Amino acid sequence: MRLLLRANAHRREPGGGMEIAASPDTRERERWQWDVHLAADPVGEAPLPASVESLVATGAMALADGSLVHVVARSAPAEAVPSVEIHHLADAMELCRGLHEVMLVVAGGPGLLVEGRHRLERLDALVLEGDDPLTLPLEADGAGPIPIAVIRLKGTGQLGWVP
Amino acid sequence: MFVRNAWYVIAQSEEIDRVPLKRTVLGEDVVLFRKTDGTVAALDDRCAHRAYPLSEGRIVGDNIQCGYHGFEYNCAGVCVRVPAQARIPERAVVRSYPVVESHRWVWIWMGDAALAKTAEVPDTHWMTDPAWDRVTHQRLFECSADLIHDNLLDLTHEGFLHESTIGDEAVYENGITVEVDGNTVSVDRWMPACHPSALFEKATGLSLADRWHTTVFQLPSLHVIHAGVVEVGGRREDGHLLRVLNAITPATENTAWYFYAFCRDFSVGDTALNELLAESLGGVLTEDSDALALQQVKMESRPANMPDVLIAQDAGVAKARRMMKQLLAAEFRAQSPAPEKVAAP
Repeated sequence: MRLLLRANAHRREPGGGMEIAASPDTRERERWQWDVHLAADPVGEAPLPASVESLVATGAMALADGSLVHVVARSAPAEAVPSVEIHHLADAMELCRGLHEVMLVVAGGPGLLVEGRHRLERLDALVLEGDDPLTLPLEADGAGPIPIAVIRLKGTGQLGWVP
Repeated sequence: MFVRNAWYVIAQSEEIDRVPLKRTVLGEDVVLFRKTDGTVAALDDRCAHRAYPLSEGRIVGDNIQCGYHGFEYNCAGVCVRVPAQARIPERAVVRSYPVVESHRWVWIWMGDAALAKTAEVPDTHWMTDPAWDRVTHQRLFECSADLIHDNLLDLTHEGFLHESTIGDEAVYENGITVEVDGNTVSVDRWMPACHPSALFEKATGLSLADRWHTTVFQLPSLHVIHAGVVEVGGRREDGHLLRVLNAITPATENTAWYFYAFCRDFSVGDTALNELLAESLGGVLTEDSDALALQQVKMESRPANMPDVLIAQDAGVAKARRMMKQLLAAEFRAQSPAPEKVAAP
């Protein structure tokens, strides 16, 4: 189940950040597993209940328009380990995803072509999980390198967007 | 709770004439009628005088006359005649609603009328485009509109509920791409090299095909399913194309109007195929209607601490539910009075 989330669909947070994706998507229906945010401040992500432990990974991404955002990925330690990589795509590349891994790609500028068919614009995101392909071809479909954030949530077992 | 600032289908064009039509939408009773120029008027179905339903009255020119004491209202909902006296009370007014007639459906705006001017009625031109043919149905489902939205965003049910017509294992064996863009959720499923389902083998003559459906849900009411079949390896645009329009209008919290149009770009004018599709797809709607009515009963008796168990195929459902809540919350905030400022002592 691929999930293509346009920038205008991200959840605005009171502190000025944005939630890109979370599992569970509807809070408090299921036990919290992971979430991914964009924030102006790497410690400014949405608070979790005091009793919830989390692992946190961050990466600073300079967007194509020159602004800077911090990508913040968090997970429940029992469910997954988060990581954030920042790439600059000048031409083409292929991302690999592990079994039991949820992978998110966030475009830092316009013109990111994924799988030859999904065109991502600034801050659009694509989520892959479960039965989705384990390799993901990316192409820069325009002028100049495109900053890309690749967020991985390596599951301790089966991991998805829907818990 | 309903999202009110949106266009909803309230009737098919042919339902509305010079006889008042009562219809309940978003929990409100509305009376509809055609004016002498053919356009449609929609008013609150309750006389301001003694709350008698205006739909029990009659049309007089471009006005509607209450059948109880004869109060007469114009299309703006303003009382223009009280038979028993010359003076017309200032409060003798009923609410009028913006309506638009477009491609054989009549749409109503139940929210802030000022906002209707800037919101476009969704595109349903396949209903009247001569390059397309169509069959239509209309039902009142005994379930909430939300259950119908869930049904349309998770078409894996076709493989079980509609096994004899449009569903098979190809639907649930193939994954989906869910896209969220503003107030639209789309769920795309590509089903390569499979049987095109029993009904579409009859309709197209293909026994093996690449097949797809993409449900595009324009919240809060309209699902357009872009579907089709094409010979294996062909391009989607060269296939037998379908546009399945599903306009869902809440009647009450647990009933909903379902306006359905199955439009195709092949065998246009084939009346035998129209009859086959009308009967088969009517059966599909009955299967849905029966199942969702049962689901509604179970939902109402289910403990609050036992929410649905969602799976990956429910991604569109989960996203749409959340977006619907956001729309409702935004309307609630807009209606709530701003907190009063307290002057410093």
